[in-house]
Amino acid sequence: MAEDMRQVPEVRAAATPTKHEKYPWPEKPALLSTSVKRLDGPVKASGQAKYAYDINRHSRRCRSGEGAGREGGAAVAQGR
Amino acid sequence: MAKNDQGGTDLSRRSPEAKADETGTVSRRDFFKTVGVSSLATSVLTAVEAEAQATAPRAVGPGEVPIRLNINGRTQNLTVEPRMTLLDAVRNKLDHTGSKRVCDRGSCGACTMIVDGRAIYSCSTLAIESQGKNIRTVEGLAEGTALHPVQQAFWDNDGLMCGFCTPGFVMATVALLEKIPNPTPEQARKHLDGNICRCGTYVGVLEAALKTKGVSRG
Repeated sequence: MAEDMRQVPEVRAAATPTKHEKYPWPEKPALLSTSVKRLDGPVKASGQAKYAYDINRHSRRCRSGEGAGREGGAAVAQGR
Repeated sequence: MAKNDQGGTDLSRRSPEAKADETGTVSRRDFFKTVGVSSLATSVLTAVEAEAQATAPRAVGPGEVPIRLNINGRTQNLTVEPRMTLLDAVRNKLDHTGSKRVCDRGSCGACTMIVDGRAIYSCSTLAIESQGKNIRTVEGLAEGTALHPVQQAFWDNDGLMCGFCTPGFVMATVALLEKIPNPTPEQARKHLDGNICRCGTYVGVLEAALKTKGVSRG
């Protein structure tokens, strides 16, 4: 197989963005090639972000009194 | 045993023990010897046990016991079971959920805290043995809305994605910079290799560790 036959013709074509009538390509791109900070960065870096694991803490609600045991059931009647 | 000239046994010259052995009875001398040794052994063992009890750590539990922890400069009184880890005590008893429990076996570093200036795995440290030590968690770094320089660097250098491992990385980085203010990339890699990030933000974390300035000893 010839070397040039492996290439897809569209890939080798020059990048010529077509002008979209409704959404034209901006003259000065504002986001591309710019560093955008994450909105959730401060809360995550400071440990204040709450994950599901932080809210629904299983070990806090139901903790076995045995060091090593097998769960046999849960008595939920009094909780209702 | 004394023998006479004819080769026979002279009963009159034998010791009382020998007589008692032959007759199968316990002599008065044997009786007092036995009682003396027994009482001596009992008194020695009692003294050894008392000394061991005085020097050994006091046994507590298995129920909850009151402890006092110094966390982020504040003294916290709480009751925990002796088996409870420092991470569980801080998360479940004090509601400081910044430190995460991921592997729970001291390999991922998401639970990293700084205890007496050293970064430790709080999932592998008992709360009861952390009494009297200066414990710092990620909640104690920021002052109000002002982030700690390390936290700011993590944000600036995109050193986080999902953020679940970030508190551990932040604490490990703070411990590194308090020990080595201007680390080389090799030193930073070595000190942070106890933490794992599944999102793969290691490049950003390393940049944050190397670019952070102004971290003083806590």
